[in-house]
Amino acid sequence: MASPAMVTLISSDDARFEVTEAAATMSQTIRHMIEDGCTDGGIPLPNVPARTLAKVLEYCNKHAAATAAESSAAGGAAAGSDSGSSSSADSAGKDDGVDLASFDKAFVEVDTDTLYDLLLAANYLDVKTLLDLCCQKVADMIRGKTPEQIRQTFGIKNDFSPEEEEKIRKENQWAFE
Amino acid sequence: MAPQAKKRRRTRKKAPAAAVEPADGNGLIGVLPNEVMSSIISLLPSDDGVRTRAVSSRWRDLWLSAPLNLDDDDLRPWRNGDGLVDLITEILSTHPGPARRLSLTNLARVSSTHGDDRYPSFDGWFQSPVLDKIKELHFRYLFRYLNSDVDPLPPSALRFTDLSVASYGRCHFPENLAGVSFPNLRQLTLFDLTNSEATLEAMIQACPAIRSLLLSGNMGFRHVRISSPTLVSLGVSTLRNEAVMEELTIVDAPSMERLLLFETDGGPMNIDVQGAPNLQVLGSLSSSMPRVQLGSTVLQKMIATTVITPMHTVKILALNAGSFELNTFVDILKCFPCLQKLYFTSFVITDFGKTMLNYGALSIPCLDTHLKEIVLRNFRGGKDDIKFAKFFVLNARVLRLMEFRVPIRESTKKWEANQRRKLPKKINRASQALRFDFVYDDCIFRSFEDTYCTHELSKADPFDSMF
Repeated sequence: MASPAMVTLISSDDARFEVTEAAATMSQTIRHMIEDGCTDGGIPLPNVPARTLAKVLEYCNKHAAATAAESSAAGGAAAGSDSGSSSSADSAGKDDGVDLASFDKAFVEVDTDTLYDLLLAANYLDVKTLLDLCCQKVADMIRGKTPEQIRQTFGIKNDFSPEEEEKIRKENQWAFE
Repeated sequence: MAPQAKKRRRTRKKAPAAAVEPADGNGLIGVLPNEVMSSIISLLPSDDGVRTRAVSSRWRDLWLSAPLNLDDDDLRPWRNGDGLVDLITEILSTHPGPARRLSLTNLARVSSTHGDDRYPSFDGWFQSPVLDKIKELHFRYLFRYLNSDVDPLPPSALRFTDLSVASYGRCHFPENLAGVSFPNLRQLTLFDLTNSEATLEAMIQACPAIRSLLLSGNMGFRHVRISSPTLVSLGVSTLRNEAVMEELTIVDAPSMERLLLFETDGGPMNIDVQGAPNLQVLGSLSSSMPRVQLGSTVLQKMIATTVITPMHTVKILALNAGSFELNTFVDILKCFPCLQKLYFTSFVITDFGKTMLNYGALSIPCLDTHLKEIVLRNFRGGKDDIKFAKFFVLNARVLRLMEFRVPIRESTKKWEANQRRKLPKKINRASQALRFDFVYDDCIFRSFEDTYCTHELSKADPFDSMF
C-alpha cells in the first residue's frame, strides 16, 4: 500500500507539523491552500499557535482515520453481501462510531481558555464539525443559567445600568419567569 | 529548510491564570467573532437564547442576529395556551429572522378556554417571512380529548423548501399536494394523520432526497406502497386495537437498508418486501403476522409455504414470538443465511415440543458462518427457554455473545448460576468463544418502541440501545 500523502503545517510560533493530507484537508482553509498549490516549504497558519494546532490536529487525525475506516468497512460490507462471506468490518465500523462520540465528548472537556482557542482556530481553519462541536459545548455551558451566572462563567462585566437591565428583563419577561 | 512564515503573535496576549477577565469586560468569549457567537446562541433553547440579551451590551443584540430556534416547549408551555399564542406571535414579530428551526407541539387547534379556532394564528405564523429558510420543522396539534373534528394543516406549513428535517402530526393534510416540494428533506415523520395513503405517496414523491421515514399511527394508511430511490430507513408503528394497516409493500427501494416495525398490533397484516435488494436490518417480525413475503419467499405465520429464496443482505433480525415451533424458526433462519445478530422476544411460555430434539440434524447456513450475537428477551429460565438457548449454543459455530434479558427479576447469583448450569458446558458448545451475559429488569420486555431510531442512520444497529 502506498504511504499516504503528507503535508507540513507551520504554526504561528514556527512549529512544524507533519500530517496526512486527509487529516489536513478536514480544514477547508488548508484544502483551498493545497488546491491553490501554496504548499511548498509547508503551509503557514499565522493565526494558530502550536499548542492549539496540535489539539486541532489530534481531532482531525482521529476523524480522518475514522472516515477512512468507515469507507473501507462499507466496501467490506458490500463485498461481504455479494460473496456471502463474513464481514467483520461491520463491527469495527460500529465500534468506531461509539468511539468517536466519546472521543468528541472528552475532546471538549477543557478549560474555557482552550475552548476559545479551539473555537477561533476551528473558525479560521474552517473545520466545520469541530466548530459545531465547540459551539455546542459553549451552548451547553450557557444553557439553564441566569444572566448573572453566564457572566460569572465567562468572566463578563455587566455594563448595563440597573434601568437598562430592568428594561430588557421587562421586554422579555416570560424568559425570566 | 527554514520556515517561510513570519513569526506572528496573536494580538490577544494569554493572560496569567488568575486574570480571567480582560480589560474590555467581555471576557475571553469577547474575542469570538459575532458569527461564531450567533451559531452558539442559535443552538440554545428559545428561553436561554432570549435570556442572553441581559448579559451585557455586547450580548444584547446577538440573539436577534442569531438564526432563530423557536420551540414552544421552551416557552413555558404550561402557561395558558392563549398566552402561548400571543408569545409566539410576539417572537415572530420581534426577531428579524432568518429562523433555523420551528417546533410547535403544545397548542390544540381550538382553545379549550374560549373555543377560539387557532387555525388563522398557525397559518399566519407559517406565512411569516422570518420562517422562509427554516431547515427543521416539527408540528403537531395538541391532543384534544373526545375530538372527532378533522383538524386541517394550513397549506402554508408545506411551503418550506429548505427543510432537511420535518415532522407533521395529528392533523389533516390538504388533499391536493400538487406543487409541494421538499428537495432537501432527508428525514420525515408522519404520525396520526387522518389522511389516506394517497397523501403518503404524494409526500414521498415530494421528497426526492429522503433518507429516513417514520410512520406512526396514521389510521387512514391502509395499503402502503413504498417506492423511493433514496430511502434508507423506514419505520412503521401502528399502536391500535384493530388492524388499520392491511398491507405494507416495499415496491422499489434500492437504497433501503432498514425496515423497522415497532408496535404492530394495528398491522401491517401483510408485508411484502419485493424491492429492497439492500435490506440489512429487519424487524420486529412477529409469529402472528398472517403473511410476510420476502422476495419470492412467502411465510404464513412465519412458516414458509414456498421454496425459500434466501436474502443474503440481512444482518440483523428482530423477531417477536407467541407460540413457536422450531421448524418455523428454522425456516426463518434459512431465509437469512448471512444473519449476524438476532433479537428474539418471547411473549408466552413457548413449547418447542419434540422437534427440538432433532437439532443435531439441521443445517442452517447462518449458524455455520455468520451469527455472532443473540439477544433473548423475556428469558425466564423455563424448560423451553433453556431448550431454545441450547439449540443455538450447540449449533451456532461463530456465536460470541448470548445475552439473556430476564424480566421481573432482580439479579441473584444463585439463580444465574443455576441457569448457567443448565446450559451446555464449554466443551460441548459449537463456539468456544461464546460468552453468556445476564441482564435483569423489573418489567416484561415489550416490542421495541423507540421509533426515533428510524432516523438514527449513524447507528449500526438501531435496536442496540433499546432495552
